[in-house]
Amino acid sequence: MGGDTQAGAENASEERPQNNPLSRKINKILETRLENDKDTLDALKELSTFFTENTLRSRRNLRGEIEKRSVGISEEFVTALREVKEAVDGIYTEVSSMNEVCVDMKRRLQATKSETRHLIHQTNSLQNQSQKLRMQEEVALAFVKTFQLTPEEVLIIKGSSREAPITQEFFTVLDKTQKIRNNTKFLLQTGHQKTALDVMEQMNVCREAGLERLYRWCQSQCRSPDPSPLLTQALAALQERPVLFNLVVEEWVVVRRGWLVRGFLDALTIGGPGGAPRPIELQAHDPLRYVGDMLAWVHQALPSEREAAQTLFAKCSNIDVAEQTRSTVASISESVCRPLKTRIEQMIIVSCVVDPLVNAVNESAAGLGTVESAVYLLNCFHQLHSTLSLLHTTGDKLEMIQGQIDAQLDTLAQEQISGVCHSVGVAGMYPFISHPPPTPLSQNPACQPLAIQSFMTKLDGYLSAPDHLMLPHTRLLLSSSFRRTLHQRTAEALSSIYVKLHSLVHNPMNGYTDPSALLPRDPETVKNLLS
Amino acid sequence: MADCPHTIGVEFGTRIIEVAGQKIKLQIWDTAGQERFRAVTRSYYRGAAGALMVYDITRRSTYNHLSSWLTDARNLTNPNTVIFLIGNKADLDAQRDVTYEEAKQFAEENGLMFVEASAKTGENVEEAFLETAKKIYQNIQDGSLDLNAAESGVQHKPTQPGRTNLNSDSQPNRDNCSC
Ligand SMILES: Nc1nc2c(ncn2[C@@H]2O[C@H](COP(=O)(O)OP(=O)(O)OP(=O)(O)O)[C@@H](O)[C@H]2O)c(=O)[nH]1
Ligand SMILES: [Mg+2]
Repeated sequence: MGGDTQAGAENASEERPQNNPLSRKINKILETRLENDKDTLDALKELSTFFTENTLRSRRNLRGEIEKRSVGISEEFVTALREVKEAVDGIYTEVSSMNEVCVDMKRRLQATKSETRHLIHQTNSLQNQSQKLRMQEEVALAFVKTFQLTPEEVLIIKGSSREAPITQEFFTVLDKTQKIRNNTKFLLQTGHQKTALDVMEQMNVCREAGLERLYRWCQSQCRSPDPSPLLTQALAALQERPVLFNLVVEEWVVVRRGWLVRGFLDALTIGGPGGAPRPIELQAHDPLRYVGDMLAWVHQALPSEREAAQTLFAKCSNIDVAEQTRSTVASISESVCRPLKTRIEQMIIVSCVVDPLVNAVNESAAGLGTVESAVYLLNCFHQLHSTLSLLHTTGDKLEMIQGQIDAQLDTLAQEQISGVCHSVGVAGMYPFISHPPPTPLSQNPACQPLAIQSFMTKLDGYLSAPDHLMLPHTRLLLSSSFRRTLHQRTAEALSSIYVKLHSLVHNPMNGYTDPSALLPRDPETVKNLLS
Repeated sequence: MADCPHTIGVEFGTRIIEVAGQKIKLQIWDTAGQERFRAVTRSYYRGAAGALMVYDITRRSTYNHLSSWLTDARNLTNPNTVIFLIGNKADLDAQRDVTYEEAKQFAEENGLMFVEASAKTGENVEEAFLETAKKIYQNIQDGSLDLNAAESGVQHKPTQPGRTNLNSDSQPNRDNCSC
């Protein structure tokens, strides 16, 4: 603006006459069209405000006046500008300080920001860690729950004391140990070999202790007349240890055998409680009733044994329950076999066999002659007698057989004696020897000296070889004692005949002339020779 | 009763009775009546202390056979053997074929004891055995039966005062069938 003003002033000075430029200027001014020059107009307008009188003085002072006014304006301008400048300076200062604060703030923010990032990072990692730990805790809890027993459970399995009874919980825990063992395969599959083996080992130890305790408990239950219902479950559990299982079954059998046989013997000898029913042995005289009662007792006793065994094995899944029951009941019932067998044998091997046998023997002897049938019967009865003597309580039958033996032996002895009597020629004399007639014996035709002489000769022959005169059939006798008896009785009979004849012949009343020549042997000598 | 089987050979039983306060064990041998068993049954006479000879009062033929049975009995036993004649089936009086008197006379003539009895009703059965045992005991007491003789049929046991071998001889019918 100032420039413009200076230019206006220069333009005004150019109006001063100068040669060329002056003319150009005058021209130019002359050519100027003032109504179109706004600046000039404005300047003139301004001029009109203070150039009011066109006097010389005014004209002379015009320039100065204008310059004075311009300086005034410029001074005014400077003053105003100074104020503005001061205000701007103030603003500047404030903005600068603001900027400073901002920069500081920014810097601090920057610092804080970098600091926070670390914290966040830390927090995040801690959070992750905590998450991880929480998960691990869950896993650990799940693991413990899945693969471990609680202390209470361990106590249940191992028992608080040696005598602690087995409870239902025991089996629950035992099942759990099995489940855990099964689950270890997942551990193996997931590569936790060591853990799997450790868990397996723990469970094995636990089960071992548990089964051992279960086994002892079973043993004691077997001896109880009223075993716990848990025994069924116990047996099922013990299947895993065949040795223990079999020991328990063995104990069961041994105990039950004892009871059964004791019960049987009591039923035989004592009878029921208070004596009713009466002892079975009171029927011993009636074989059918006796044997029937004994079998009925056994028949009655076995179903309860079977039922007990069936219950015992009911839950066993590894074995053939029917077969195991059968063999167990068989072993138990076998105990009464001996007492039953001996009694039945005494009753039946005896009555049912001996009577028909004796009948058959007698029947087959029916067609034979006296001697043959006697020898045959003696042989048969001898066999029968020696067999029966091995048995007890066959007294009656033995007496019967002994009676038949005695009878047949008598007959045979009689036949033998009369045979020998005929052979040695004494048969004819015998009636007179045993019942001597009143007349002298020497006059009796049967007892003439010649006959007596011939008897003596034959007797001598007999004495030298007694066996010759024995009935041939007697050699067939199986029993040497029978043969001895026959021999003895024959000798006794012959010797008693000789004694009698000797005394008769030596009796002068009987009129024998030379008794010592007829019967030279002393009766005592004959007796000795015969025996 | 019709099914009652014949005796084969001999049947045997024992019985303990009391005579004069003494316990006597009887061994009773029931011998077969059928002819084919004669050889076997004869053996049982010899050792007998007594014999019961039984006929059937409803069948005369059995009575008629008595003398041949008696001969056997006499020949094979010792003279003191007690022989008891028994007329069995006394329960069948309506069918009687042998009178009591006739048999009684036969018994007296032969020195036999006699009674009519019935195995079916048991009438006089016990008595017949008891009487026989008493008679044997009497014979022992008065000395007519020698205990020491081998063929007396009696054994004396210190613990058991006496033991008698009784022979129940058999006709086609006999007395102690319990069927
Ligand atoms: N009514 C009746 N019948 C009898 C009596 N005694 C025997 N009997 C019957 O007569 C038949 C023959 O009887 P046993 O006793 O077998 O005859 P036994 O003399 O022994 O015959 P053996 O054995 O062959 O010697 C049977 O059917 C008997 O039932 C009796 O006292 N009264
Ligand atoms: Mg008969």
